[in-house]
Amino acid sequence: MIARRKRRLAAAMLTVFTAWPLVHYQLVRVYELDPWKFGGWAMYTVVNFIPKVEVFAVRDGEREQIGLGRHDLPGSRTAREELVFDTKFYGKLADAAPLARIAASEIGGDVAIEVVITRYFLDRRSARVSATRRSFFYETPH
Amino acid sequence: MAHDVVIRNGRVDTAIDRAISIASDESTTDPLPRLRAFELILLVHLFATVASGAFPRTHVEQGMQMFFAAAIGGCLALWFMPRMSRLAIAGAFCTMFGLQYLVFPQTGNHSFLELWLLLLLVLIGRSTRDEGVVLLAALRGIVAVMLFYTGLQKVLYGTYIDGQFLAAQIMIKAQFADIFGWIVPADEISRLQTLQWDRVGAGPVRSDAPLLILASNAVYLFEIAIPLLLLWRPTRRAAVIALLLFTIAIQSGAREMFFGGLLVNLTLLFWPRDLHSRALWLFLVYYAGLATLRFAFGDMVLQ
Repeated sequence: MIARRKRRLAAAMLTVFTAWPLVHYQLVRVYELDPWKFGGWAMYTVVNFIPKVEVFAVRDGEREQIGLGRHDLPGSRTAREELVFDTKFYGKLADAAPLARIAASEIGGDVAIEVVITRYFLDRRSARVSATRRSFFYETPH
Repeated sequence: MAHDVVIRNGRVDTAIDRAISIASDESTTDPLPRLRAFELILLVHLFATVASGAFPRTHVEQGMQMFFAAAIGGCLALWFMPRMSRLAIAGAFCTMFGLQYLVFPQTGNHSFLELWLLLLLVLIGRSTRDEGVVLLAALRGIVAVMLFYTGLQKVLYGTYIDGQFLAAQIMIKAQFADIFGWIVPADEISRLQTLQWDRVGAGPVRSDAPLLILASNAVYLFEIAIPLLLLWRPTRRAAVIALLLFTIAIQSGAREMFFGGLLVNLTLLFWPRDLHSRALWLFLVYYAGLATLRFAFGDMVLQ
């Protein structure tokens, strides 16, 4: 009886183990998760590019890129690094709002923030490096 | 109604029994000694991996790493005590789960595999011969499914059919250029290496070298076919040898030597007789050597 239960348990575990990569594939397609991660056995399938995150301050219709060097806006710099990290792994599920909030508070005044995320990939047809760009605009991120 | 349930359960159980019999050995060899040796090698692998820091350490301080290494070391010591081996494996599962919780989302797929293996060892156990047969079949099933998906995913993402992924690796990593230097013309290697892979429009990142395209397609075809050959008894021994050679060839390029050790440990599960007990000391020497190299040279040499 115990052996029967163990057999069923082993079968159930193998079923879950077999089903997950198919779910993983769909999640990567829909949310652009990192295919190398999350146990879907899709490592060494695509080139692992690092995404680029740019931050712009928009004031009175003027759009200016925020420099995030070592000594400028330390909170925003850290938040941008976290967003790069999150975007690489979680794709579209990464949230740009925390970066916008921190950037707005560090800049001060009545400012809108635009966060632009660029993700690189190898285009399968042309075999050239391509990119997708998504822009997030935060009117009053405070 | 109850009668229906009995019939349905019967069919499911018959299917499970058939699957277990496919993944089992023909002979009446006792699987328990090899499973015992497999467990020990797995624990040694985990201890060597954690102690030498062969995992993403972005969110793990050195003190924390030492704590996890000590915990796995404790589990390894506990494993040798009579009737404590299952508790030791449960402890190893909790420790590795805790470590991967900190590492997530950087957790490598081999770490997920380790967790699955530990979970199977804890939940199925090997206290009787029948449990051992089920456990061995389940472990073989995990390996077969993993190998199959590594091949299938390469087909689904479509970067191996025209050799695009391997060409990209030559572009990015010098070690791949060295490996493929003997099948890709030198001017083609130079062209790929001068491409700026972080510039939109760079390319084309592919190669017309016939041997590279052949090797690229052979990789996923092998990964898809090998699980079937491992599970089919007449080809099982040949498939084990082929997979061992494949692992050595791949890991000489990827240099994921800890995962290579794990894969060899898993591959030997398919051999019809117990090789783990005989090869135990070889694994111990291998992991001691890897850990020493890691301590001496760090991430630059081995992953």
